[in-house]
This record gives sequence, C-alpha cells and structure tokens, in this order.
Amino acid sequence: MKLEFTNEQTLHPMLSQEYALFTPPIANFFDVVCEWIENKVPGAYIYGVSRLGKSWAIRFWINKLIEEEFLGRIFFFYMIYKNHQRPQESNFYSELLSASGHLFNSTGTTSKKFERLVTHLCTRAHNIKSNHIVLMIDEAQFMHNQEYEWLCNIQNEIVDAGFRLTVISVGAHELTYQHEIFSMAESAYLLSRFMVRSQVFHGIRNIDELEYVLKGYDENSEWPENSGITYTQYFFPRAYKAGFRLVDISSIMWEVLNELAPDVLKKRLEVPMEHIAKSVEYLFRQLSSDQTLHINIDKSLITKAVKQTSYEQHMRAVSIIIGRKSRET
Amino acid sequence: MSSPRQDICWIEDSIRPYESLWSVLNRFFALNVITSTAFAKEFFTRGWFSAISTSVLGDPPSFSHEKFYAAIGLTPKEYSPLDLSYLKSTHLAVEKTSLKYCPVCLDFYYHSIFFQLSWMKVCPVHNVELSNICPHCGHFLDTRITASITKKPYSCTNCETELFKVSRKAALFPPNLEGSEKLKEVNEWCNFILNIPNNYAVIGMVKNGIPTKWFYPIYNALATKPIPNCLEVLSPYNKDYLFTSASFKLMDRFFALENQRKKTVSVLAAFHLERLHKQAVVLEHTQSGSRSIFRLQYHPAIMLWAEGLSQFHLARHYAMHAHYS
Repeated sequence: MKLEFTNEQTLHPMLSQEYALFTPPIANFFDVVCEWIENKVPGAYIYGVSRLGKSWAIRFWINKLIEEEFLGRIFFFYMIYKNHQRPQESNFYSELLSASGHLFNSTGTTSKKFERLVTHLCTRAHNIKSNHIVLMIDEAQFMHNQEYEWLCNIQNEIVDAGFRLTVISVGAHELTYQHEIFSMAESAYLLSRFMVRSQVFHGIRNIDELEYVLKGYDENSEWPENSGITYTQYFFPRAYKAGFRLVDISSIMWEVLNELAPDVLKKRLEVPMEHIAKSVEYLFRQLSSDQTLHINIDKSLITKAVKQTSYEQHMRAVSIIIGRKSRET
Repeated sequence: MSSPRQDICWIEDSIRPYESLWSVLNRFFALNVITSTAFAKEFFTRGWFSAISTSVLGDPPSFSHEKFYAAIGLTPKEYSPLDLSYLKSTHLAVEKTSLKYCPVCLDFYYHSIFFQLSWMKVCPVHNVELSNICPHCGHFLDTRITASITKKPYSCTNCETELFKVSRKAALFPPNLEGSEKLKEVNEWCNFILNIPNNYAVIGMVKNGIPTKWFYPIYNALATKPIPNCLEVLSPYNKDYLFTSASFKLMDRFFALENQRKKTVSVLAAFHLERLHKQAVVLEHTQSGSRSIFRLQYHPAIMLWAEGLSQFHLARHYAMHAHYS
C-alpha cells in the first residue's frame, strides 16, 4: 500500500499521529474524574510519569466522555499550562479565558480579565442549565503557588455567584511535590482545596491491558469516519479479511516490553502508551500492504519496533525517578 | 431564539420583553468588560469604534447589528422590536436624542423602548416619573452608546458617573421585574395604532363640529382601545402639518381612484379640499408655481390620529404622483 497523501484531510490518523485509542488507564482516569465531578469536589490531581498518555487522554477522550456521561450538563474545559519563569496574573487569566473559549481573551487590565473570566464561566454553565464548571489543567506540575491562589480567588467568586468549580490538575510525577510545597508554605487552604484527592495515572500494566489496546486497532477504531473500517483493516485489507488481527501479537509484544525494561521496573511494569502506539505505527508502516494475505510479525521485528521508540532509554529514566521517590518515602 | 455564541458572556433568553437596544448593549458591556477597540474589531466592519445610535437602525453603518444580534442569539425577527425604528413605524412621536429612563427599572438593569415615546411621562411598571437628565451633572442623557459607555456601562456620557450601582453579578442575573405586564398594554396599544392605517384612510378634520358620522368607525375603534394611563397625549396644537396639492380637482381624482381601488377600505373623510381648508385653521398659505401650499392646524382629536397615521404624507405623495395629474 502506498502511504502517501495529498493533504491533511486524507491522511490516516495513525500516520499523522492524531489519535488516541481508548485504554484501561483512560477508563480508570475517567471513572475517578466522574466521581469527583459527581461529588462537586473543589479540586484534585492526577499524576503519572511522562509519556503515559495523560495529555492524549484529555485531548481525545475526557471531554467526549464527560459530554456523554453528563449529557452535556457540565461545562468542562481544559488548559495546557504554559510554564513561566515568573507567573503573571494577567497572563494566567488570559490563558484561562482562551481555554474557556472567550473571544476577548487578551484585552483589558488584570481585574477586567478576572471579571470577564468569572462571568464567562458562569454564563457557559448557566446556558447549559448547569451550575457546575470543571477545569482540567494539563502540565500542572509547572504551576506555582501563586497560580493556585488565583484559582482560589476565581473559585470563590464563582461560588459566590451560585456556581461550583472543580479544578483537576494533571501532571507528571512532580505534581506530588506540590502537596508538600503547600504544607511547607503554610498554605493549608490551598492544600485542602486542590491537593487532598489524587489518583495515579497508570501505564499498560499487564498482558490483558495490552490485548485491550491492540484490540482497539482491530475492532474499536475507524477511519475514514463512518466507514466501518478499522485501523488494522485499513492497512491490511486482504490479510484482515483472512483473519489477521494485531491482538495476536500481544503475548510476544508483552514479552519484549518486559525484556527491554530495567530490572527494577519489571516487577511492577507500567508501559507508557506512547511506546506501544509508536511500535504499532512502525509495524503498520513497515508491513502495510493491500495485497498481502499473510502477515508475519516475529519477535525480532517487534523488538526492533519497540527499540526505535527509545523505550529502553525512557524506562531507564523512569527507573531513576521511581527509585528516588521510593527512597524519599 | 437561538443560542448565544459561546465565545462571549451572554445568558441565553435573558432579553426581557420590550427591552431597548440601549439596555441590551449596556448589559453586554457590563458582562464582557471589554474595550471599545476590542468590540469594534469584532462587530464593526471597518474595525474601529464609533458611537452606536440606539434610535436609528444601521447608524453608524459600519456597526454590524446583524452580527451582534446573532452573537447574543437573536434572530432578525426577534431583534427588530429592540430598535426605536419599530416605534417610529407606528408614527408615534419618539424621543430620539435624550434617553428617558425609570430609575427603579435601572436597578433591574432594564430600560424599555417604550420609555422613548414622547407621550410617556411615567413608568407604567413603577409609576415613577421618567427622567432624561443625569442626576449628577444635570446633562441630558445620550441614547447613543459611546466609547465611554463601553468602559463604564450605565453611565452618563457627559460626567461618566454611573446612573446606579452596577455589579457584575446582578447584571448577570438581574432581579425579576415584577409588573412588567403593564408594558404589554402599551405594546398592544401601539400595535393597535399601527394597524389603523390598514383599515381606514383619514386625511383631515374640521376645526369645530366634527361630523361624527364620518368618523364614527374611528371613534368606535378608539372606544374599544383606550389610551393607556401612562401615556399623556401631547397638546394637539403643538404640531403643524403641511398639505400640498396642485388643485382641488387633483384631490377629487385621488379619492375617486382610491375608493375605486380599495373597495374594502373605509374612506372616512374624503373631504373636498375646499371644505378641508375652510374648517381647519389656515396658518399659512403660499403659492409655489401652480401649487398651493397650506400649512394647517387641526382639531385635537385629529392630532391624535395624525401622530399615528401617515395619511397626510400618503395624500401628498399621491397628489404629486403623475398618475393623478
């Protein structure tokens, strides 16, 4: 099969890397978020080592799932936090205004932006007949104390107007340190608001989960839209018809992922979703054919596919972080 | 009503009956806290701000009313009553330059287009006298939305003092305006006035001794729809009307043709011009070529209709039309 394209619209999501399969960790993530939303908690955080797929889950799944679960009765929006050396209140509100979708996100003074932001969040919620706003902040490990204080002000204003705001911070492992920073800085009110509830975002932890993911390529994916053609079927039409399924390689793939991981992680291995996705993309690119009837994927090819994602280096870095964290605790 | 745009602050279905464009724009600025420049970038075709008239639709021409109304979720049919041009279509006298307001209604973030009726002196809802003067500087309040209003909504354009204590929270969900159904009565009466020209053709009236048989249907209609108490009919002799005609024969021809064409229309006062100008007060009579121009004053009863009806203009239009000459 020729993997060329004329423009972005005709490019398969696997080639543009603009897709995220639904995975067991996303299901977990969503369940916890739903619980927090139902309880209208003021704040919580989700953390996990990098490359697990947290951001992809937010981008591709969480909004959609919340929409379905709460039938559009929750105003959910998310912001990717931009790291600043010195946080500025005005910029922070501008970024929040932009994330909430306000047209005039950069005009006016700090206090005017604050007023506009609070009003906008309340109107967005009210217009969908709700009083609940959910803000998810990605890359929250970079956030400063001051920014949590500003969030606190926003939350107070919103509550005063009869609405509720839940702030869910999502970030890398370092986010757990924020908890300690708040207690050391005697910011107990911030701690109790934003850092009391937490959840770990896991990687792919066992062969069953890996099977679930690979099955996604075989069954729970579709492109072009409404075509009924799954990703595996798209890249291997004849072989798919003849019974080829990616899920069949899950045991060998798990074996490879285990073998390539550092010993310290092997007991509780959590494979970042990025490495699985990139390995599969590699396999698809290498083997894709609309003529071939039998597709043979052996261990050496899978090893090559996994290695080209820099899986080993990444896992070594993770083992250092995990080791440091466990020493601290 | 469609949904408002999500990229602005606006509560769906938050426009109250007979609310004026002035009121809507002020609330918009109170909620969105934006500068005139930012507003102009989005809602002015030229991209820079100039004062928006709330009494003349489409002024300034570069303000995109349609885009603004669509942004707050209004369809063209829904937004037409917001504008004073709606009132003007009734031919009732309308105050276009100074803003008449009820101070109590303002506490509810409300201003009605009906307050701009010249005849309305008292707020029908609160029975409070309407004012058009800033309580702080004594200046007439402007009906236009100027750049200073975008910065400080609900304020006087002269001294920039707020007319009342404005709060974002209250502007977002203004308290219920109880008694607003009294405005409905005014609206119904305006609609009634608006419909009269469709049924009758009245062109003038005598000074004394109104021949009631000619005017009977109008009196009859009036009796069924008394003028609302909140309206105070202006002194009927305040206004003059110019009536132009080339000749009496021309007018006769006009009425003959009108009666023939609109068989269903009751032509109640198809006066002979001779009779007309004898019985009205002739203030001025000038000759312009072959034309006689009479400046006439009419009986108070007719002045009431003159406010609501366009027959004088209609008659003049037809009279000058080549078809009748």
